[in-house]
Amino acid sequence: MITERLQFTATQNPEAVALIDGETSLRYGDLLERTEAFSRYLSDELGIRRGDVVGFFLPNCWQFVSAFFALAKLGAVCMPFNTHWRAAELRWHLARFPVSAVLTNQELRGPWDELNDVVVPERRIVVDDQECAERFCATPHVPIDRHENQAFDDEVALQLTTSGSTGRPRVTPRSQAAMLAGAANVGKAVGIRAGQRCLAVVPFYHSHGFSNSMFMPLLLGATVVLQKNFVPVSFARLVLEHKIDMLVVSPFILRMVADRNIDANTFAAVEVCLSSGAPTPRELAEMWHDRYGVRVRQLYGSSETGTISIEPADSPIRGGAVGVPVPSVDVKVIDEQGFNRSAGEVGDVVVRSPAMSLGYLGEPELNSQAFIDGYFRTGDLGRLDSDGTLTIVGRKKKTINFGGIKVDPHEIEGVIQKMPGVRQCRIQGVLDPHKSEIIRAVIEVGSERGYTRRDVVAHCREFLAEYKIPRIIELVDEIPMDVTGKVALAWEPS
Amino acid sequence: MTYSNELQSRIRRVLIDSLSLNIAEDELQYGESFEEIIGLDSLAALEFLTAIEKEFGVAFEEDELDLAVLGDLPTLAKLIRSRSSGSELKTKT
Repeated sequence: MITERLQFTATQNPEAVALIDGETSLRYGDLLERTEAFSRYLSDELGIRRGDVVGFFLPNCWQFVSAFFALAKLGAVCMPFNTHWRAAELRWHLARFPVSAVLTNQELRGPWDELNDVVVPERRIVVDDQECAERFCATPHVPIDRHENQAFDDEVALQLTTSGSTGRPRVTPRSQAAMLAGAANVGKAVGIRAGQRCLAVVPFYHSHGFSNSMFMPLLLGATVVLQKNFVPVSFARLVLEHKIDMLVVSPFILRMVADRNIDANTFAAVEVCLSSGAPTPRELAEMWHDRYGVRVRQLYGSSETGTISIEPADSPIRGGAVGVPVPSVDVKVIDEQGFNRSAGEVGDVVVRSPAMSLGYLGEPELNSQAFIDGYFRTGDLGRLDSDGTLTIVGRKKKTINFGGIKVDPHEIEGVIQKMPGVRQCRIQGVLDPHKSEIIRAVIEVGSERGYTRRDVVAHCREFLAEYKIPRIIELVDEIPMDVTGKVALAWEPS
Repeated sequence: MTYSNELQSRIRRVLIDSLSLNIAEDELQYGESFEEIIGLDSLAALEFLTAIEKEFGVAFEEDELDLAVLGDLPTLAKLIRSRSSGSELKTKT
């Protein structure tokens, strides 16, 4: 189903450029050929079949894109991992969600050397080594209309990982049909057309990066320019060089670019700018509007539901507003009993969408609480105004949103509590002066232990990706708790 | 305070402020790697080094925007001295 859609787009624009990755430029016809070649390799040599899961430990690169479509052609599943994860985190994840093979590259393969017992070396494919490069490229030419496909509408195509607040990452499987529905909805809402040029810098292991900067633009015939790591100056250079007219970003990216005083003309061609992952502060959106002439539009979505709402291009900039629901997505604001709140009243935001995931993999109990009557409970508190605008005012769930990546406080608490002499530890998200959430640890240690900040950082580094290491570390004799069990030590940004 | 000490003190200040670290300046010891003090995630590195660029009017190359490359206080101070025209290094009030 996904393959047919890509083929349809490719048939319409075989010469149009689909992907630009550094020096590599692939037309739609080339992308299909490489996808075909790689799907044969996956099925004939690795024995990948319908329903098999393949882990991706890759940056945003053309091989990621091609391998994803190759798996979709087989009815198999792409499960991207956060590339900052360490061996310990990967091991934990793979024990619960096994994979048939892993795709990585030469730069990132390091942690896998410690995981031979989980994924044997023969099932680890390094996509940029010589042998693998030949697999992608060396198949005889197959005319576009001769590809044979199976439908696979209900087959899972993508399993993204998100963090909850239970100490366990969650995996959200999305079917081919749901992914296509999501792409069509967002495409309609934003008005994407063939020939547009989109910069893909948000990592593909993130729903916003995968869906909005790669999958949706490619299905609609746009050109996707890939950036592996966000660096403000090279980001600006790519925008200018490729006359990018669609930006898919996060508030962090917007702030870092603004801080570098990038020349205002750089963004002259930008027509669409979708910011997601975290709320975009109003001042930042206003600054982008005034300095670069770019209307930053907040996009609200989740790994569980796909994109929920987007700010219209002509709406005034309002803090907290996340726009109107995209076509076919139903948003309700309900009270504790499940009844609809009136317009303007704050309640729980629940969402039903054809792009929704099939629930959390292997979590029946959690699913019965989070997915009720076809609606996903986002855990966000918000209100729907009479004009249909959704505004998010707070969050019920205890996950921390660090630069658009959800972090589970219990996972970090568990790691720090392993330090000898630590009596207890509380992790919470606090706002820095830029209104970005950062991680704060309050740690109760016996006075006989002379721990310092450095000891905590060094300990965390053994078990946790760098982004999960608390920025604020407070070692105290006793953690004062309030009645709800929250840390009663206030935090004020410096 | 010597010229060199003053520069290092300003770098310490920028590190603490840009990352909202709740530590005193004198807790950061000379020669200690940044890695020992904070998590080196890419967001932290970009935030800190962008703040350094603003403070001292210097520009780092793409491959330098990495705390693993810039390493520690003396290395960073040396690089700032070599890149800066001099005027930015005078005391800011």
